[in-house]
Parts: sequence; structure tokens; C-alpha cells
Amino acid sequence: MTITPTGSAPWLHVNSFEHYGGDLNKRNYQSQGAVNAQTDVTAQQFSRLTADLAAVQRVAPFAVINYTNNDLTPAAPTINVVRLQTGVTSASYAGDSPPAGFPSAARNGDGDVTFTFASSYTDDYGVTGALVINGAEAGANGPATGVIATANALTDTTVQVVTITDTGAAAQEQTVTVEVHT
Amino acid sequence: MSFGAFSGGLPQRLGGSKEEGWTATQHARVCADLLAAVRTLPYATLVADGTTITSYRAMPGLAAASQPTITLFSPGIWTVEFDDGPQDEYEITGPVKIVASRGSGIDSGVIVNTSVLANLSHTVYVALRDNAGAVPVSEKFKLKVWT
Repeated sequence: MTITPTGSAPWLHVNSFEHYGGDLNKRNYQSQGAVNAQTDVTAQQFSRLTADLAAVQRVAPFAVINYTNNDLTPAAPTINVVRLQTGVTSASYAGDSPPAGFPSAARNGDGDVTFTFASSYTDDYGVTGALVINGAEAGANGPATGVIATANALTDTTVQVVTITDTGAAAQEQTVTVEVHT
Repeated sequence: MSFGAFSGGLPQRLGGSKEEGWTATQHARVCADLLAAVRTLPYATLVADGTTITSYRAMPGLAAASQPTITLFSPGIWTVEFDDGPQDEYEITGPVKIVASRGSGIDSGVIVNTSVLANLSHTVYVALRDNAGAVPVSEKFKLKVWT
């Protein structure tokens, strides 16, 4: 029988330490502590585990993407690496031909792309959660220096990333890393 | 007999009260959320002033001995070389292959760009420029890398 975990998909950031098994009144059975540190986990240790995981779940980004703009011969950007909370890529892909479960990317102009994510995603246990992007950050990875990359969450599911030079002109053919938060 | 009577050592039997137990559904949520976070959290973040690391956070740990080495490559460009085979708390070794990086300046007007050295994927270039394209006076930068 397939199990349904407690709580919600992690990118909703609503899971508490209690969803992980924590409880303010957690205690060792019959108030006995660890007899053997190599085989026993105490209530205190377990409580720390649940509290720290809740903390991590609150701030973990939903996605990290590394891509390269195709401007000299205009085309959708090449997506080099994607790390989503729901999975990671094993190979690069063209932005207009994403594998299932990964975002697409469209070229708007030189150094200007828009990423489109799905409206919802499913965690490893099949629990679905809506995607609501509330912020993104970007950094340019060359080949030029002095390039400014900015990321803007346009909607709950789209992020625009623009690269410009220090003179304000569009920066072509740059590789960029963007971090997306929900 | 309650599940608690079987507790007291690994392997863990799931079940029991909220005060003394750990249910299967709670365990499942732990597994799912931990894996989700591991996929997207950075391998390391650091703040540096030239070759001096002023703040460092990384998955293998924070000890000074495990921190990367920062070297001046050319004016305004630094290389940040991470340990190629760090160990976790259980001495499990894994290679460091950086696939994404992001830098940012600390002082006003400083633009920071980063790139992974192609043939040494545990080393990152960090280039600092001001808004006129020149090497800035400030040598401070922040770096975040993912594997």
C-alpha cells in the first residue's frame, strides 16, 4: 500500500517539526536515555533532527538553473543544469524542448530569457503542491566580466532573467545561474 | 504491548505515540523533504576579502582545514579552489563537481561574475569589476556554489 506522508510538499514551506515526528513533549521510553550511543537515538537527538529539518525546508530554494544564452544565432537558451526539489537533470537540453518535469525557457532578445515552470509539482511520494514563485536571483558566469544579471518573478510560474553590461547594453552569449524561491 | 516496549535501539520500528514514537507517515515526510532540500541547497557559501575568508558554510563542515583556497589570478580575478574529495561525518568521500555558481559584491558598485574552471570543476573563477569595467578597490565578494 502506497503511503501518504504527513504535511505538504516541501516547496510550500508549511511543514513543521511536528510533521516530521517532533513533539514538544517528546520523551524517551520509560524516561530511559541511550544505553548505547551506537544503537540508540534519544528523544533529544530526534527532536533536534526534526527542528533542523523544518528550518532547512523553510529556506531551501525550489530551483537552481545554469543556462547559456544563444544570441549570435538567435535560439532558445541551452539549459546546462537544473536542480529542482523534485528532481535533477542528467543532461543539457534546449530551452524550447524540456524533458518532462523541467522548466522551459524562451528567448525574448539578446541576454533576455523567460523561464516557465509548471503550475504544480509532485514530491517523491506523489504529494502535489502548487508552485508560487516569490523571488529569484541571478548571477552571470561569463565569458565576459562586468556583466549584471537580474531575475524577476513575473508570475507564480515564470521568471525573466536579463543580462546587461556595465554600460547598460544587452550582454550576449552569457552563461547564467539563477536561483528560484517559493 | 505498546510499540514503546520495542524501542531502545536500532533498527527503528515505526509507530507509537506522538511523545515516544515515530509514525510511518512522519518518516515518509522526513525522507521526502530531506531529499528535496539536498537537491537544491548550495554545496557552499562564503564571504571573502581578497584571499581571506571571513565567513564559510559548507555541507562537509566549517573547519578551517576544510575551507577552500583563494588565490589572486590576475587583477580583480580570484580563483577559489575547493577540496576535491571532502568527507562527510561518516568519512564517506565524494568528488566535488561544481555545476553552478553565483557571486555578488559587498561594497557599492562592485559587479561580481563567476565561472567554473573547465578542467578543474572544483575551482571557480571570481571576477570583480566596477561599473566602469575597471578593477575595483574593494576585494570583497560573496560566492555560492552548487554541485
